[in-house]
Amino acid sequence: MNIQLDREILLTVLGRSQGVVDKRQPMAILTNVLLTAVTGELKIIATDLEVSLEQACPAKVKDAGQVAVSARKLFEIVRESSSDKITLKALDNKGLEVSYGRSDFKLLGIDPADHPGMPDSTAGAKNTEIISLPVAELSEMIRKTVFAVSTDDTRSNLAGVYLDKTDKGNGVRMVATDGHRLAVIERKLSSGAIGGGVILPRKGVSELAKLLVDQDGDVTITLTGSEAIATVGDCTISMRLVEGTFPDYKQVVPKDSPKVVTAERDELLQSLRRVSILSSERARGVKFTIKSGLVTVSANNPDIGEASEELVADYSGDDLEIGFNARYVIDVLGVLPEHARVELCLNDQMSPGVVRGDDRDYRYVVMPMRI
Amino acid sequence: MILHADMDAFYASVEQRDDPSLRGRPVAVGFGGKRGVVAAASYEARKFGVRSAMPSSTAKRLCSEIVFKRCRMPVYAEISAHVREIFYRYTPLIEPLSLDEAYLDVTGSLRLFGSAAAIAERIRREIYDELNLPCSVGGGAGKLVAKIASKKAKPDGLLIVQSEGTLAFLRPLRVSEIWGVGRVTEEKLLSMGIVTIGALADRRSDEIERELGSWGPLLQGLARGEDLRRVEGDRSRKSYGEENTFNDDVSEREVIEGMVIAHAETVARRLRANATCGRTVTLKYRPSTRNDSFRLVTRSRTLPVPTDDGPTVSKTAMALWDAEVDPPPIRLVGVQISGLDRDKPLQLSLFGESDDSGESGRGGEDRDRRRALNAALDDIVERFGSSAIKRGRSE
Repeated sequence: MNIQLDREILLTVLGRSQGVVDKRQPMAILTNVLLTAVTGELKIIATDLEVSLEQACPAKVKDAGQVAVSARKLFEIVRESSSDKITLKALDNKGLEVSYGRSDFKLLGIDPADHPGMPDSTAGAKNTEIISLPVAELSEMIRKTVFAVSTDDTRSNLAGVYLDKTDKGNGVRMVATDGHRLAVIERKLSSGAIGGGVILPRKGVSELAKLLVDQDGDVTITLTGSEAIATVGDCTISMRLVEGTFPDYKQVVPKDSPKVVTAERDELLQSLRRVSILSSERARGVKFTIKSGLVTVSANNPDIGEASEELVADYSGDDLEIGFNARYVIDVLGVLPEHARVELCLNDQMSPGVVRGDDRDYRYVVMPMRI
Repeated sequence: MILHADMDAFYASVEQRDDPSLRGRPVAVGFGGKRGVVAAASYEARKFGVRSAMPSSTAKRLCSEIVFKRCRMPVYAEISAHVREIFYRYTPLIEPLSLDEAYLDVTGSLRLFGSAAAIAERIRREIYDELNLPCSVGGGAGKLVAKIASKKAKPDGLLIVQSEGTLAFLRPLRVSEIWGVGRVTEEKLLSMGIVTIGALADRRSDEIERELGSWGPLLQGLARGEDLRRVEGDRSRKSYGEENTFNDDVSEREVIEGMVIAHAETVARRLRANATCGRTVTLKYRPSTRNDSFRLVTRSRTLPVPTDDGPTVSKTAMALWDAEVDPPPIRLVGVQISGLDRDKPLQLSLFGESDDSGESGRGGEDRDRRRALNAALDDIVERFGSSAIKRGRSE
């Protein structure tokens, strides 16, 4: 292999690979990227066996070939370069020589045949479904749900976003929950239809979101029953689906919330950020005291002190006191549009509340805290 | 004023009580087979040098006429609960150390019952009248003195050390009498020329600290009669645990799971009895490998929500076991729950508290059913004893 490529493009591609390679080192090969030079381009594959990413970038290829070297080190070498062009040359000992300007690096490599490469997506695939939707929409769906994914590894069935069909029409629904709050968003598909639901792993979805930045057009997602393979531009990301049953999320979305408080999103977000400074470290509890036309947000920590703040809101029902983890409310306000109004749809102290903006296809359910 | 009450040769005494033919004879409770261990020895057996934790084969060699009785844990536990009831007649501040011994803080009870000696004598009498078992009681200004005094009082005796006599009582004793001073510490102290508690008390504290580290000042304080450790009643405990030693090496998952389920149920029941929940489940086991036999392995996992539910605890503990790479055969297995939370969980859940499976969408309903089931179990155990009903496994 002997190729020359553009530093900027190579850096972007290697940057995306960083999130995918395995940082722990049970298998050294998984900390490597597999570089394959073919006519006119360099293919770069990174995998941790759960999530695999293949990208291509244009290259001036003198000799084709293949090497596997440390993803981290190659990335750092390219990042620190001040030249526009980078030359990569395979060495006899399976290593890689990286050179630019007056710098020269020789990286040790591993036999490329030992690298697992991309999973064989055709193997065992029976009911393959192919869907596509605009990049911007998928990006938004991920951004508005992924923060609610559980980080608790004892609940593996919650460790991803759930992709489901919509009740009617050719839409797709994305759901994420950690058992305390749940985000659900629906969008129309450009083509295809989704059958049963699948759980996409958190890591795969986060890496997919990074690929969508600065891209146009549609994303194509192929579901094979065990893998989800997304293709956008020159990138293909494949992720193993999470096994397990996603909880019946439809049951917990309240059908009817009699008490609706409408407030300015920016004001509410800032109030919560301020008041929650004095909520307890772990539970982050804040109390909403809701009266006609007025919401008081307060926090009380016996070890530190207390805080309260009043804000004007549209509300005309019975008085209500309800507690929430401030973090959960701040999270959703953070992804709702700025300079707009939000609705807090409540029932009573013990029942789930719904937070939503103008977009009725995005809802966020949050369980209260006992106060 | 603190009392230390200690049942005399507890398991063995129960066996002798229930089988008159054993009275006056050397008795060991435990498994008499190969690799068995003596769990308790009667005073008659102790005369031959038989001690608890000794291999059964050694016990038989020391005393050929020794009678082995199998352990009847449920019986001992029931008697222990009765003994605790008796303690509660005199003070609410009780810190059980095991089934057969406990600290009692009777400071607040002195005005009601007269003196510590009077309380101790009444406790001993009531245990004897109601259970026909001997108990020795020691008393003193602190835990250390009380514990040493009960040991001196044995068998079937009573010794109260008045506060003003604390130092006179402690000073002539060997340092090894202090709880926690094992062979290693004792050797270190001996090498410094310290044999008695009095000598330890008199030594300059920086010298002690240099030799023993941060433990030094604490130990010296004890030697000087400064024993401020409080009797920690059930209310201030940090964890609940249950464990057992197998008679033989065990590697079958099913056997281990059976014990883990039993332990988890017991621990969960105690949590419920104390109206508390725990977040952290710890599985502990001791590999049977001979040269490794003192290594206790512990594995912990913290749950998203505190629990008092047996199956949740046992499932978590078994998940920890299953996560072990190449688990060895084991001799001991235990389940512990810590991270106790007296308050009910503040954050309410969408799908129910311990819905790991995610398979029931009716989490709330599921949780309520589980609560009702646990309450029913607790009722049955309360009325008929812990062997009346057991959790099984369904495939």
